[in-house]
Amino acid sequence: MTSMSRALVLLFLAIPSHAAMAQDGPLWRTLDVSRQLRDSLPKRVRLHYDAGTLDVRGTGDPLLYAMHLRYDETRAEPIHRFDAAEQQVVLGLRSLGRGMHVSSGDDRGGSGELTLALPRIVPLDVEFELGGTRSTLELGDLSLRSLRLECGATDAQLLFSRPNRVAMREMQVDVGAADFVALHLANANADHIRVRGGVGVVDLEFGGIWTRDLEVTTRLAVGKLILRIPSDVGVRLEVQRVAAGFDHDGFVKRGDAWYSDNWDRAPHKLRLRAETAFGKIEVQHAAR
Amino acid sequence: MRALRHLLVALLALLSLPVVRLLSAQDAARTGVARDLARLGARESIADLPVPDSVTMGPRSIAAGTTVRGSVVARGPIVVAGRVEGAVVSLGGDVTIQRGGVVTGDALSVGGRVIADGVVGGEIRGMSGLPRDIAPSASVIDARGPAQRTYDAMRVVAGTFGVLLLVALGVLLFAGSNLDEVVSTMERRFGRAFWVGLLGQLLILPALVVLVVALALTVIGILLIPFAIVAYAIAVAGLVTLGFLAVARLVGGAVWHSSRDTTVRSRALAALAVGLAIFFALWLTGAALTWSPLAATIARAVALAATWAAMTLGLGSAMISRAGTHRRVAAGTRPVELAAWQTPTPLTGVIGARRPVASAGERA
Repeated sequence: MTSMSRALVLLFLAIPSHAAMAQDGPLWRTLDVSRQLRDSLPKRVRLHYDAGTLDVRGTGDPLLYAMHLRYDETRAEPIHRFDAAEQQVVLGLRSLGRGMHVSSGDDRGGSGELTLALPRIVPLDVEFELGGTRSTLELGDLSLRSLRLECGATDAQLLFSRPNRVAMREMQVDVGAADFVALHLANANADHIRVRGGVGVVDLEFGGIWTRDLEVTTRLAVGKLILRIPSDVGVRLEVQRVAAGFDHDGFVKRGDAWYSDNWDRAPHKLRLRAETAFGKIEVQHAAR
Repeated sequence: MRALRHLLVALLALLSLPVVRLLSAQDAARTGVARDLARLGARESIADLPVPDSVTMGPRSIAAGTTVRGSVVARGPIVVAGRVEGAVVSLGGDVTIQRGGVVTGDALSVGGRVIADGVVGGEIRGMSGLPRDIAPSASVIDARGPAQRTYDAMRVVAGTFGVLLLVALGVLLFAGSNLDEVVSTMERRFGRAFWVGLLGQLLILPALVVLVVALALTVIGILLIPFAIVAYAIAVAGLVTLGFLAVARLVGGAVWHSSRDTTVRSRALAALAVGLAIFFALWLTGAALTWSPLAATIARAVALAATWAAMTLGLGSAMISRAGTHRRVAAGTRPVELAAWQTPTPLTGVIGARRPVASAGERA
């Protein structure tokens, strides 16, 4: 045996063996937290949620917020703060740095969940920061002045089943590796919608009650962008793509943009700018 | 008479047993309440909590028309029909604020519900249980004894040392020439290597930001950002590791002289192992002193300073020698090894050469 080989053997023997650190099992807690409504001044609401099932809706109860949480205390701790001076609410769940899990076979009791109810009558600027969640955001009939939604690896559905009560300045959605569906976007009552996606499927459905023209900017790196537009809405579509397919049936090209056949006579107009690298842009005209 | 006295004493002792048991149970309950109050104050931000002796051990009711100043805590249900200027906390029962009742602070129920028909100025909270610990991570650390903490710290250091030895072995096997070049650069350009390493550390993040911004200008570039970040991190980690191993080899070679009959590679491995052991001895000292926080902090500060200096120097050397691939950096300062057939001149080394011509006898 050469000295090199001896040194190799000694080195491997010198490596100490490490027993796997025993992880504590989950310790599920529930928390119901709410605050009574004192005024109808505009508020800013921030929600941070890393993992689990999320459900957000409006409420007619005189509450500023009502949050129900089910969480693993060994991995996360709740956030619930209200700053009266800043008129700001911060809610959600903060990871304690040991990672979070949605569910597993041995977690003795299922998955984490967060249910949030927001007041319908208070003008709100809302920010959602979501990690790996399954989210249903039913934001219809609220009074949203702005909406910012940031998702990581999220399976998210954003729904405006009824019209937003106030005009929304801006709606911005950033999705990472996600399946994102937005339904009845006309009800958002927004002037401008921006959607940025990394990888995945982004499905935007522009149903609902059209009260104004809408401008939409989408930027998707890899994946499929589905645009479902009512047949009575005129569409102007600017497409920038690298290696993405785009089926332009029903569109006529004028200058740099594609126009739907009904553009000139349509009562409401949708101006879309879609930018994508790899994948597909699919436009579907749906009857109301 | 004496027997009667003994009987009386025995009877009194027997009778006092339940009282003693009751008192000790109350003490335990008070201790539990004190712990719960501490948790409420620390984790639930409930202000103006009463002292444990003021906690009601059972149901509590605030009648209409009455005002309580300060927070109310009870081990049982609480009904508020009057006014509480503070928080209301029930440990193990419901909190009911009746119509007309007012709570200016938070209304909290642990293990129950909060029914708020009246006014609650603060937050309404119902929780299944109190937070487990006041500071979970700290309590985990405190739960271990000094000996266990010392053992754990030493185990971590030993494990890291083992992993680095494996990495060193891989570098020696697969990038031995690069390591040689980095060591050589360090020997020749010691001061410059340190300053370059320092500059490199300062520029690591700005360079990454510039790279990301540059990529973000185009759609394809955006796709490449995650890969670029990972590649950048790997490159930086590789440079730092290579540099640190070079420093370890240099230090090890300076204090450990292998016998001449061993191979070059064995000598390099021995020097590397000794150098790494020297650095890890510093960290191991810090770990071994874990039982004494002050001494451990000082020892770890020394180890950190030495490791940082080594990494800075190593990073600089690795950068100058382009991860050991830029042979000319060191070669330029080495003595020129002349071929036997070259003719050196005093001015520039070699200006002419004459190939040796074989003699007639050799040709034959």
